[in-house]
Amino acid sequence: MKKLLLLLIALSGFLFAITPIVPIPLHVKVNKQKALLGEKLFMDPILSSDKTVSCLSCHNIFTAGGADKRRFSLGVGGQKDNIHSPTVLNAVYNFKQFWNGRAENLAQQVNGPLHNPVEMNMTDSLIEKRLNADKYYKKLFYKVYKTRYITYKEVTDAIVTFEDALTTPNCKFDRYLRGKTTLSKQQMQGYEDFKHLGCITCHNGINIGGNMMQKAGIFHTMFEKKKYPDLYSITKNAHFINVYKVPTLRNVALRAPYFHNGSAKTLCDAVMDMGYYQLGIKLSKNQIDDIIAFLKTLTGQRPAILGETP
Amino acid sequence: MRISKTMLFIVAGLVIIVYTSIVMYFNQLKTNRYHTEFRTVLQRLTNDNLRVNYDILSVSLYAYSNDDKIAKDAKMLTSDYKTLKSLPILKNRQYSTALMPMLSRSDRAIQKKQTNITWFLILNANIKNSFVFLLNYARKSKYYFKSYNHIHQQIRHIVRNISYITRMQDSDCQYNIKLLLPLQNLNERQLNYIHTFNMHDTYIQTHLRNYFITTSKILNSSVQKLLQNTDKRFDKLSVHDDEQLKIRTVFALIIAIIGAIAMLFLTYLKERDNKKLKITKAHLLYQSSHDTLTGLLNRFSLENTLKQQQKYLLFLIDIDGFKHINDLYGTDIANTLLKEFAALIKEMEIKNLILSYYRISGDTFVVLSKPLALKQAVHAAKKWRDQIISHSFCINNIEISVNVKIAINNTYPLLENADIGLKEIKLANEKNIMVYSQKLKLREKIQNNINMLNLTKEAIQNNMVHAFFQPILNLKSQKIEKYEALVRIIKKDGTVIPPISFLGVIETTPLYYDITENMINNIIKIAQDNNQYRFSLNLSMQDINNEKLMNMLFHELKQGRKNGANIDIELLETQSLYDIKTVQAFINKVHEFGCKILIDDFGTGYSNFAYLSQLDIDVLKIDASIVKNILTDDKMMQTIKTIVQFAKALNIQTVAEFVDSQGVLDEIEKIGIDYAQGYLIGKPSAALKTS
Repeated sequence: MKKLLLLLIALSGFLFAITPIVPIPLHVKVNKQKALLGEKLFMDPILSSDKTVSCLSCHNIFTAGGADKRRFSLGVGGQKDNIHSPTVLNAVYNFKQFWNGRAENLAQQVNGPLHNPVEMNMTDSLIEKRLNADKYYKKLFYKVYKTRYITYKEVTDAIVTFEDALTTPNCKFDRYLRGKTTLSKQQMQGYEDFKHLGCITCHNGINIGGNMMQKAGIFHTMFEKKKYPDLYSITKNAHFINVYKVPTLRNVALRAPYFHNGSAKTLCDAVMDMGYYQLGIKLSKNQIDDIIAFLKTLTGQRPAILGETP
Repeated sequence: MRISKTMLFIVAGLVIIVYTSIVMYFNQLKTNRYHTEFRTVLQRLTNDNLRVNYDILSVSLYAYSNDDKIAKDAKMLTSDYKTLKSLPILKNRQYSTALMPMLSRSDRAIQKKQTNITWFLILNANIKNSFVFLLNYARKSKYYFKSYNHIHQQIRHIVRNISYITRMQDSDCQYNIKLLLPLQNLNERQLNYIHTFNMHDTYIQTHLRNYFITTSKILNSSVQKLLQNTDKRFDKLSVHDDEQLKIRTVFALIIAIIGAIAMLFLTYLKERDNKKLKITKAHLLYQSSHDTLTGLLNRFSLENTLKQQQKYLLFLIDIDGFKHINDLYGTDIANTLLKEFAALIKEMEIKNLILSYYRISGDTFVVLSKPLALKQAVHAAKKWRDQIISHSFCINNIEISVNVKIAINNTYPLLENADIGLKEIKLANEKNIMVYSQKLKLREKIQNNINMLNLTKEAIQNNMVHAFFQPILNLKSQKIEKYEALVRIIKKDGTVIPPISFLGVIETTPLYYDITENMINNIIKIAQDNNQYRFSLNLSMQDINNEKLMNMLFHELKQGRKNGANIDIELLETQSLYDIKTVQAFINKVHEFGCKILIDDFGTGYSNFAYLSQLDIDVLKIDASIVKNILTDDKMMQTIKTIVQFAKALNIQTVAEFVDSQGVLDEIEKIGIDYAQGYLIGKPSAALKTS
């Protein structure tokens, strides 16, 4: 009996140790009405000061894996930001939001782009004024929130609910983890390399990243100091110069360019750079190919909410 | 008023006490809830901290791990701290002063811990990667360096050393950076190997100490201790708070009990006062509704009862001649009689139908019963009356018997109708018991009387009172010698109202005087103008007793002394001339003026011959009731003859009234009557009839 128990404990420890990546749930439970209202808001440029930019402009959930194909996104009046838009897909599984993790959750994150003068450049009151002047929105908000006057709180709540629903389940690797499918030899080799070379020390968990911060450029200087808003810019702790949130690798194949400054134009560049700067390894062509083959298994299904109609 | 104000204060006080108690009770509940809440969150925070520590150890142990858990737990640590800091109990000054410094230190410690965790994870990932890399790289060294044994040794040594230190997790361990030393004659691949090896080795060696320190900082952070201290301090506070609350609760309870007792006492006082008031009220009510003398209900009470307009039967009982009893025996005895009479009345019963007994005025009693058949009521009344009549009231050794008249009525207005009925039987003096009925037209009679009274009043004011004269024939000379003046009211439309219609009505009013005065004036005037005739004026005992009227009469007679001689006075015999002396004095007085005295309606009522012997009477007028029947009734004939004989014996002349036929006229002539009066001779008229 005791032996059996010990075996079980040992086995569980072993299992835990070798499953640093877990699949994302097949279904997410959100208030559908709120999410659909959020979707409408997400795609509506009414939320930018000159009505040229919507959330979708920089987080293209349809074609760019929830990020921006441009290195730097354009805000209102064609202004250019100095950071690459991170993906909004599966963002709900990130432990913090923004590249430097300054938002604890999506609700805090939503405030950022809406108010950023070079992004959407809005104020709470302007958003309320615009939406309350819109009969269609008034009707929708009344239906969902039972409120005659739309407030900023409900606007962000709806958007966040939509973003909560933006998960891409059932990628090949998730199916592999669930035992529903097998990986090709190359993909398997890529996963092995991913683990043994140490990618997994940062890219682990449900989101294969997005649960810790890491310094960009361990063995070689990767970026100029303090050019981009890093963790140091918030904490002023010297340890955190060039420290950014480790991004998720889900749907990574869809979202070139890469890194917080969009400096890697292709996935190949990105993998190579990571090996060089982070792991201190010069990856071979085969290794890169294998890893890319593995990374491509991380492309999931389109979020279910996008097919929904109110 | 005083009591109610006090009550108000007490009630207000009690309300405050009860309110305070309730508030305190809920306060205690709230405080208890707050305490539990704080303890729960604090415990959760402590657990979070332990969990994070466990995560750190776990992460440091494995080559690679799932960092979701540590990310989640670290986040939880911060968010639970925020929850703790915003708990409502910390809005209490006592708690916030005591706990906030400690919590602020916890906050800083947690933030520091978070920074360390971030840093730990960065280092952990890289060191492990490099270490794993070195382990794998070391294995590959033989492919690079086939014949460089000492390089293999160096590599083994370095890797073992790192492995040893990593396992020891000893930050104090003196660690000199050892690198692979490049040898001469190495190819580029070999040099590259050494370079890469040294790069990772250097990273590990430069960061390992920092890694250990950071790990140790996380695991030994002051968060745990601070949370424990917070817990201890909170315990002290809450125990103190609980005690305070207990004391306050007991205090409030005591006050509430005292308040309740005070209220009960005051309620008792108020109740006692109320009782007194009730007694007084009851007494007053009794007095207002009861007759104080007899203890029966009073008129006020009866009227109240009758207001309900329910069906009743009312017996109105009146003691006959009570005024005489009062006069005769005095008030004390009369009152005692009333009491005993009341007691007797109270015993009257008809099969439990009697509702109540009343004394509504001096000698008038009412028995009110449920409706019953009038026959039955009359039967009962008769029985009662017999009881009363046969009862002998013995007061102060004086035996008094009383007679009663009873009016029975069951039609509204109950009392008024019964009263009318009673008056009717009192007036007629015939029956003792009567049932009021609409058929008796008693009310109409009364209305007629009232109308007549008004008419008379109007007549007097507007000179509508006239004297009519009825001729009286001297049977010897066969000539009209006298006239009887009779009062008439002639209405504006010419209708003539005979005195029988109004004299009875006005008898007891001042109008009666006015009428008589009017007649006196009339007769004086006509007598002056027609001194060849005699005129007779009717006067009653009431008139004679009226001093003012008599003075007026005497004055008039004196004025026209010469003419006064042809005025006679007819005294009405139907009314008893009870005061012989006064009447005689009057007769003497008018005789002085040459007036003659006639007795009117002789032969009716109390007529007795004794008068005639006592009073100086000149003429007897024999009543119509005798005269009109002499032809048919032999008794009447004998009576008239006797009267004539008697009169002649006393030298009194006689007048036969109501002579309406030649037969009667012939007969009275034969009998020897001196004068005849009647429709045969002439009806009364305003003008003097001479033939």
